[in-house]
Amino acid sequence: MSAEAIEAGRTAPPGRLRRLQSLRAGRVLALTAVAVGLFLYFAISAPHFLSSANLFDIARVSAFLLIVAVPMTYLFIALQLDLSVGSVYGFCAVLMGVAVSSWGASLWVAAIVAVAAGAAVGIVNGVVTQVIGVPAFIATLAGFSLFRGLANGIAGGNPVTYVDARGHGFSSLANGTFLGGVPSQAAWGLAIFVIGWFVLRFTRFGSHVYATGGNEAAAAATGINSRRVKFVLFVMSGASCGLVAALQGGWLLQGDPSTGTGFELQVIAAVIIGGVAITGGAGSVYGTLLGVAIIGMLSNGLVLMGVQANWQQFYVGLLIGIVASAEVGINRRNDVRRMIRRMWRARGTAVSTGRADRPSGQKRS
Amino acid sequence: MKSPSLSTTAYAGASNGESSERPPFLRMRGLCKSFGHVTALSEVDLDLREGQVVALCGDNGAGKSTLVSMLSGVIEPDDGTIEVDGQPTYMTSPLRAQELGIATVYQNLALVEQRDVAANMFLGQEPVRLGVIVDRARMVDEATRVIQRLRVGLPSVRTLVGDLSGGQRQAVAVARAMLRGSRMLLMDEPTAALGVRESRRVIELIQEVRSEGQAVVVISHNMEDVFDVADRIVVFRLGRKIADEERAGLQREDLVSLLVHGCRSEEAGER
Ligand SMILES: Nc1ncnc2c1ncn2[C@@H]1O[C@H](COP(=O)(O)OP(=O)(O)O)[C@@H](O)[C@H]1O
Ligand SMILES: [Mg+2]
Repeated sequence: MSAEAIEAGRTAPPGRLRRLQSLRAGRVLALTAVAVGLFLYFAISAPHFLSSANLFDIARVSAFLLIVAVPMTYLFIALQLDLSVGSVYGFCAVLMGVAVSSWGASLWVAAIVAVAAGAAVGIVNGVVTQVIGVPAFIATLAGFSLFRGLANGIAGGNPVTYVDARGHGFSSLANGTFLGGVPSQAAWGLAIFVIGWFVLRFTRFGSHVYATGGNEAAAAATGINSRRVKFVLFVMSGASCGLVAALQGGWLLQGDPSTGTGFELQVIAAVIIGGVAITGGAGSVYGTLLGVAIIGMLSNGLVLMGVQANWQQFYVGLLIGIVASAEVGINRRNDVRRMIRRMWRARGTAVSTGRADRPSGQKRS
Repeated sequence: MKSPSLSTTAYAGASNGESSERPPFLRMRGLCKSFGHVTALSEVDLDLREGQVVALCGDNGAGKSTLVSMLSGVIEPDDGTIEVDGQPTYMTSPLRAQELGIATVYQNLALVEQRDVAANMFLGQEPVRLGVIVDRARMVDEATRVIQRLRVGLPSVRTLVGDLSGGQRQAVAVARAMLRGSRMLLMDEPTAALGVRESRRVIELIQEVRSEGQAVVVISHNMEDVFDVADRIVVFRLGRKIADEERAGLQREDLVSLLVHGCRSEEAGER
């Protein structure tokens, strides 16, 4: 790097200099536009989409996704992931049922049991990944199978119902409405979103999450305990599964061992559509909110338009493919450009800005 | 703890005669480190005094970065002792080293590209309000102040590090160490990616820091920088310390010969 380069850096127009920064802002803006566009499209073409009952329905369904997607966003930023969330959701749902029907606990106590069980599973995931050192993908894949099996085994394959449970105060907290029909699930989702957004953006812990995924060696060299950060994230993820299980239990008054089947993929889809950096170190809870909203509107709107439910997965998959390709394509745009140029055999003086994409070369474990 | 009557400036260019009065800030004895079959450092003794700039020289792979990593708590020695102010000390973590007032410019810079300059300068040491909330305003102010002192050409401390040139990134790493080190600065090739003017500025800053009474260790392959700024020159070769001289006692040819042949020029001539 020559002295001239630094001089050039000082005088270069901001447009050229702040490429990463503007790309990132552009992505959030584009995602917001997609969400708003989708909303307008369905508002115009899907009958009853705009009715308050339907919008509340979307909110109710999306809230559970959001509650688990917030900690998943943290995990992705820190270059980790949790594949066990769907199974832990089911396990906690069954455990809540057992607490009420077998131990005679009230709904309140059972709800606390569910959340505590989720957090305990998170501690196990944290120990296996951060203390023993098993890669998160493998450790939580084991949990994915283990906790579904445990849920099925405990419940004997059938839902545990508890319609005559005590403590209906919790039931109304989990499934009531307020302010003229807003479902309480939506309020829970909103609360988790606000807390999650605030902590990631404004607290020291949030900064350490970004640093851990951005460059773990740098985080360690400056005294950040990245292992502890990641451990806490797994506990948060587990506890969030317990929370959705408790909310669902208070609503349906049963614990079905198949609860949350495929849920982990929906959560991860929402996080990726929300624009978290697949290579870690960047992403936002706001983006995840948009990802959740997009998935929620898609599945609801397509049904209202008469598209078969079977096709929903196709559209969600299409969206993930497009978003991921766009992100990777933007990050590697110089390579892509060069490749296209080579294909056309027009080899002019290739302009390389020469910035290595990821010198640290970290991989999601 | 150090007694206030002992002014640190008295140690600027401290000679061996004074060393018996007070233990050096940092004393290493018999430090060893191996990576598998590679012996990165063996039996290294070194004293670092406040108000003194020590230059570490040696070929690539001589073990200089390994020594710096040990003093900043990133790696632990296999054997040997480190004393700080005469007290045996274990540099078990970077946090421990920071508590002792030791700050480091790492050779790989240790920056997070996806974060901005201010966040990187306070990485792991973010000032907080109410116990948890990062005080962004203070971070931006203080980062700006240090960057200005360094006279680096940076658009703003809110720029992402990933958007900076190599030289600008190195300047950020240097600025971060300046901000944090209260007693000792370790700089592993701090001018490698800098232009002529920026390098000069870093050398000037090292001189300022010395006059404030800090200990400075600087690794550089630039002879001019070494002879300009160092009070003492230490040469490493294949993991061993082969020379430890006051600058005045070392000729340029001697240093070159030490680096190339592993011995002084007259000795090299005799062979
Ligand atoms: N983390 C590591 N793992 C394995 N070998 C290492 C590691 N760090 C340094 N080494 C080896 O130790 C020796 C000294 O390296 P280093 O201290 O980086 O030298 P210098 O900074 O003087 O160029 C080299 O042979 C290097 O390959
Ligand atoms: Mg080195």
